[in-house]
This record gives sequence, structure tokens and C-alpha cells, in this order.
Amino acid sequence: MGMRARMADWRRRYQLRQAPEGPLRHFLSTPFPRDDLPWDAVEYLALDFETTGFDAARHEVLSIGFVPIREARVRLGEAVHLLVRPTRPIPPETAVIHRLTDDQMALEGLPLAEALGRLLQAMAGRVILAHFAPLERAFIHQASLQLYRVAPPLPMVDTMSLALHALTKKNHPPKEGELRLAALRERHGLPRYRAHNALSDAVATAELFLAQMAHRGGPGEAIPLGRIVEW
Amino acid sequence: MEIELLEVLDFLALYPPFSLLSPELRRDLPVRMEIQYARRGTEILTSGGRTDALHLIRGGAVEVHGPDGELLRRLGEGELFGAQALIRGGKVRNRVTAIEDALIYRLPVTEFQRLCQEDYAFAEFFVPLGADRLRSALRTPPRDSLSLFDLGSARVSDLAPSPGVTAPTSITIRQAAELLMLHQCSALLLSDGKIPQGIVTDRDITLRAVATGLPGELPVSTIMTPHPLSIDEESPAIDAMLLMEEQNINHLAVRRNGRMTGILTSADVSFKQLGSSPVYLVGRIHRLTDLAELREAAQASHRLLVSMTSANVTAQALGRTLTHLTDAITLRLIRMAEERLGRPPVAYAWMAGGSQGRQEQGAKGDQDNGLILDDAYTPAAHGRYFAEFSQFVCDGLDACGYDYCPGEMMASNAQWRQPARIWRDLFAQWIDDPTQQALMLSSVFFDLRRVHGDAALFDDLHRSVLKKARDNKVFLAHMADNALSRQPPLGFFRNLVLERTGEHAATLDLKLNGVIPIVDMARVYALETEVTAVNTWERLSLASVKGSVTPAAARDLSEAMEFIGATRFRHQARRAREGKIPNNHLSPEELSDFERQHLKDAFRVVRVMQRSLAHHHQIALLT
Repeated sequence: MGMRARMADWRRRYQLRQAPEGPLRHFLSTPFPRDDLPWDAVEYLALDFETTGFDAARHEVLSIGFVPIREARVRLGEAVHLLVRPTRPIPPETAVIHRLTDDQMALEGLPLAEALGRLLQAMAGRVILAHFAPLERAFIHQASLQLYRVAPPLPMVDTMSLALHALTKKNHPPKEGELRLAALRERHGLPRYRAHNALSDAVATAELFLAQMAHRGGPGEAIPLGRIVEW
Repeated sequence: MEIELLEVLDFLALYPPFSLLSPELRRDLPVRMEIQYARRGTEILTSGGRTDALHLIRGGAVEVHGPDGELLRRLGEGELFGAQALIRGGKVRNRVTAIEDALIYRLPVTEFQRLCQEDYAFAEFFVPLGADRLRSALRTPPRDSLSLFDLGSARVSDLAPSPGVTAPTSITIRQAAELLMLHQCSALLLSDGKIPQGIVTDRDITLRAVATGLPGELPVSTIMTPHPLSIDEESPAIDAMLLMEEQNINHLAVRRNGRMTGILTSADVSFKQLGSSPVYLVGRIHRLTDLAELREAAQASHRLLVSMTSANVTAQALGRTLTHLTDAITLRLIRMAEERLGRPPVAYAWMAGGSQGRQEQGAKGDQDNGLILDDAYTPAAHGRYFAEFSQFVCDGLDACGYDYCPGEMMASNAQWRQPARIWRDLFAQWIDDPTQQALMLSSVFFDLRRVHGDAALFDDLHRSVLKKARDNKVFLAHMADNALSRQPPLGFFRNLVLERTGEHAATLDLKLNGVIPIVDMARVYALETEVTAVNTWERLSLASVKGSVTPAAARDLSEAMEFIGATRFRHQARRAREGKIPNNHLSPEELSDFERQHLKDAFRVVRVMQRSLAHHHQIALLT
């Protein structure tokens, strides 16, 4: 195991000792996947948030979409889409983008605590996959601090980092917009999806990840998780 | 399940068999799917390995190779693989490799089985070989057609369901009239003991008895029509209608197993119900006296093609009807030639070959014909008459849009205008020494049908040729080899025709690569068992009775012929509607998913049967 993974595991066990019964405790009690395993031997949870903005301290999560990947296959049957009821009215400028309205939220939205609980449940024992992972990491940490007063360690793979890595390796510094999810998918010949739905973006991220991994390394080369995971 | 995987659902709705499912069944599917990614060059299914899912290509492309490494198919977006393996219990026969990076939706086998059980259309889609699927496709009219009537399926027996009234030939004319009144019919079958001998109609009584003052006490046999024109009750209704129109009669005796059992009247033939235009057109042609008028009437063939395809008439019935039109024009030209040149000095028979011979004409093609002359013919005495006669008819046909045959296989060419004995020698030569040229002629001269003239002249020649052909195994093997020279394409790949060589062609010649291979095979089956019919569907059906092809295979080929033929006619009708000249070159973009899928099935049926024919005649087939 790499040093970061060892430190994360230490933090996990430390936080576990003080964690109350519930989803956080369940999450912390499940060991992280070993980072010396081949990448396709571990499970992932492709994740996407729709938010009212980019600052986790000021903005709120509106919806969460996630879908697991097991044996390098996206398991649509286990996909989940959750609406999260915000504490403040949704700013009109973001409502336009997500097409999520206050009325809909009042009807179908879950309280943040419940949504986070379901997410923690799904993340346990898995590597979290996101496009531009710092955003999801920040919002999860923010919510967790608010509810449990700890920010749990999160093993994450960032498809944007993978793309940046691949482009840099080819001596091709990315231009403006080239690292966006849709642009990368197009580059990999993946179908065009409607953007701005948390679940369809999570599926889109999952597919992009499989394409990126298929093209990374030579045939038969088993890339260990440690080479792609971030803490 | 809280989910809105609309992207997946929208995609499924585009492609069969998922598009065939009810929206309720389909809505549940996305959550049962898995997504897989295969980099170019990756083997997705391994020959001899196992699989547990149906694979649907979401993006990219794959190639399917048989166990011997031969390319079988190339598949792109929306196409499936792995189904046959699932049907075999998961065992993979054909290797599947990504030839482009591919995104694949996998439907687990348990879901596949559930859908097969819950939805019949879904299950039928996966029947091996596709022959059954083709059959159901023939039952499902394509969306753009109106099912107003189906000329193809109507038989004579459908028109005159009740048996005719039979009376002894010994009754009097008056008694006959009373019987007609009693039974409220317009004609009687007259029988001498058991077997009907003739018919008498109300019109006969009026014209032959009353108008001429014959006493009503005379036996009816004095005014009856002995051995009247008759038709088998299993014949297509359109044949009966056209025969009555051609002969200008109102009553036609109907045969069952060779015996007259009923009478079809013009009242039974409800022209409106069965589509009047071809019948009236043929009737009109027989009354025309002027070449310009005839040429104008011939223009109607394209209109007929358009109206009949939009009425969802079968390809078989359409080919027959359009051939009737050509026959009528030919016959009219022959009569005009006789009027102009005088009575023929010796008996003759005018024969049509090729698609006219087979009664499978579509949009007008080239003419193929020949003339058999009585053996009393001498060139010095009669040569000039028949030269002028044939020239007149062939010129007339050309003027009516049936272009001169580029190979000169026409009666106007002295080579194909011969006394019966020379024809016999010619055929004998072709059969004993099947050269390349002889095989080339085979598609014309082994599909001959008498259009007009002396029946015995033609029948004798035809019979002797068939017997000679049947007995010559080497000739039959050559014909079989010839039947394998054109092979249907593997299918389609992204709006391109996927050819065996791996190269793509822009358009598909539906006649050359679709119809002709079936016609050629049917000819071989027919020649093997002395089947006299030349129509491909009839050949297949009769040959299957005589055993040169299995009934199942004959049925599969008939249906493949019907589907390819119907697609071809629809294409021609489309062009005619757009004011373009109808041809056989179909661009795959014209095809609906429905047609595309079923054309592939039809091609597969043809390829399988070609392989079987090759095996039977021990011919090495290059695939």
C-alpha cells in the first residue's frame, strides 16, 4: 500500500472509534479497497452532484446521482438518483441549468442528512469516481462536517485527472474546454448525452472511465489502483 | 427503483427487437442492463467460450467471425450479438472482436429469457436462421402500406365458394332454362354420367337457341360449349380474371383435381374488390388497334407498379400482373403483325423467356423471346414472313418500352427463330456440352413460356428438353455451379452493403444479388425433377413435392424471394413516384430498420441454401 493509502486507513480507523451508530459508522467500518489490486478488481461508485454553485461552504447540493462499476461493467440496475431539499430557495440562474425547482424539491427532495446517509452506504468499500473530484469531495466533506463533525477520508478517482495525465503524457497540454466531460467523451467516441442530470452525468463519467482505462497501458497490462486513486 | 436512465431507454426504443416491446416492458429494461467498453482489437466473445448476456452495440463496431475464421458479419450501432450463444445455453460459436472502440449494453441471460417468455415478438426475433422471422415479417405489412386488398392470396376458390349446379347432357334446352331460374344462376355444368362435359349459359340459350329459333325440346348438348376453358381452383384469382378478360367470356369453368366442379362468373369476380386497374388495362389492350395507343397503354405499367405496391400486393402477384400486361401487349402486337402480313404459312409458337417467361416482371426490362416454327418450315418459302413478323413484334415491344435484348435473344434474331427440330438440337447441344455461353443462355431459355401460338409445338419441345436435362448429371452440376456464381451480400453495415470481400458497396443490386440467386437455384431444383413450371415460386413448391428440395427449404426460399421481391418493387415504385426510371439499385439508406433486418434474414436463407446446393453437387463454394 502507498503511504497516502496507509494514512487514510489510519484516519479511517481513528474516526471509527468516535463515530456514532449510523451510516457514517458503517462507511468507516468498511476497509478501503487495497490499492495494490489491479484497477478492475475493485468496485467503484461513479458519482455526480448538481449544486447551486461551486463553493461547498456557501452553496448547496440539489441532486445526487450514482452508479456502481463492478468487473469493469457499469451496473445500471444499482443506479440511484436522489433529490436533496435545499435550506434556501434555489437561485433562478441555477434552476435554469438543472431544471430543478423548489416545488419539485418540496415534493420529492430528501433532507440532506438522509441523502448523505444513502450516499455513505453506497460508498462503503468502493472507490469514488467523479469528473473533477475535488467538487464532490468538498461537498461530501462539508455535509459530513455539518452532520457528524468529521470529514472522512475518501478514495477517489478523477476522470479529469486521468485525462490530464494522458494528455500531458502525449505532450499535448489541454486547451480551454478540452477537459470537460462532454468534450472528453466525444474524444473517446462515446455517445452524446443530455448534460446536467446527476445520474446521467454519473453514467457518462463511468463510461468515460472505462474508455480511459481501456486505452491506458498496453494490452494485458494490469494497472494497480494505487496509480489512479487520489485521497 | 428511482431512476431516469432516459438516454438508455431512448436508445432501446430505436432498435428492434427492443423497439417491438411494449413501452411498459421496455421501461424496465435500462435498470437491468450493464455497460461494457471494448477497445478496438479486443475480443469480446471467444469461439468456444461462454457468455451470459445479450450484447447491444451502443457505439462503435464489431466483426463476427465463424469458427474457421471467415467474416460473417460486421455490426454497428443498434445491432446485437450473442443471442445465438444464449439460445445454445451460453456456448459461443462465433468470435466477436471490436473493430472500433465499442460501448456495449449487456442484457443478462435471465432478463433475455424473461423477455422471450413475456413477449412473443421479442422471442421470434431470435429464431435461428431468421426464416421464421422472415415469415412473420411477411405477415406484418410495412408501415407505409395500406392493406386494401391482397391480390396475391386470393385464389379462384375464394371467389366462387359454392359448387356449380350440374345437370345431365340429356336434358332439354327448356329444362336447362328452368334449372337456371330455379337455382338463380347463369350457367350449368353438364355431365355425361359422372364427368362434366361442358357448360351452358343463359347467354347460350338466348343467342344460340331463342335467337336462332331452335325448339326448346332439343337436347341442351346442341347448344352447350363442350370442354370449355377452365381453371384450377387453386390458381391465383387474378389469373382467372385476366383469362376471362382476354377471352372476352363471362363464365369460366373451375377445376378441382382436374375435374370441373364449378363455374366462376364475371359477377363473382368483383373487380372493385380485387383491384380493377390491371384487369381493365389488359382488357383495353386487347381492343387497341394502333401502335401509338398501345405504347400509351404500356406507360401504365409504372402506375400499376406504384398502385399495387402501395396496396400491399405480394411480389408474386405483382410480378404476375405486370407480366400479364406484357403478355397482352405481346399478343396484341402478334395479332397486329398477322393482320398486316396475313395468316402465318406454318404453325408457330411465340415464347417468352427470362422474367417474362417466369411471370416475375417488375418495372419494364429488356425483352427475351423466341419463335418455334413447325418442322414444315423452309427458309426459302417462309423465311421472309417470319422475319418480318418477328421484327414487327420486337420493334413494337421496344417502342412500348421493353428494350431490345442487348444479347440479341429475341425472335427478330434468326438464331432464335427456328423450326422445332433445330431448337431440339440446340438444347441438346447446350445440355451435352454446357459451355459458358450455354449457361449464360440458360436463364433465358430454360425459363421459356408460350405466350401465343401452337401449344403442342411448345409442349413437345419443352418436355423433351426437361427429360434430357434431368438425365444429364454433368449439366445439372454446371447449372448448380452457375446458380452459385452470384451470392447475396453479408448484410449491411452503416448504410453500406457489406460484401464478402470486406469491401463496401454504395448500393445493392436487388435483382442480381437477391432475386437471381434464388431464381437460379429454383431452376436447378426444377430441372432435377422435370418440373415444367418456370415461375420460381411454383418451381419451388413443385420441386419440394418431387423431392429435389425439402419442403421447409422451399418455403424459406419462397419467403426470401417474396421479401426481396417486395423490397425491390417498393424501391421501383418509389423511383417511379419520384419520376425517375425504376431500377434495381437500392441504397441501404432507403431501408427501414424493419426491411433491413428482414433483408439480412432473407440473404442468410439464400446463403444457407447455396451452401447446401454446393454440398449436394460437390461444388467448392468460395466464401
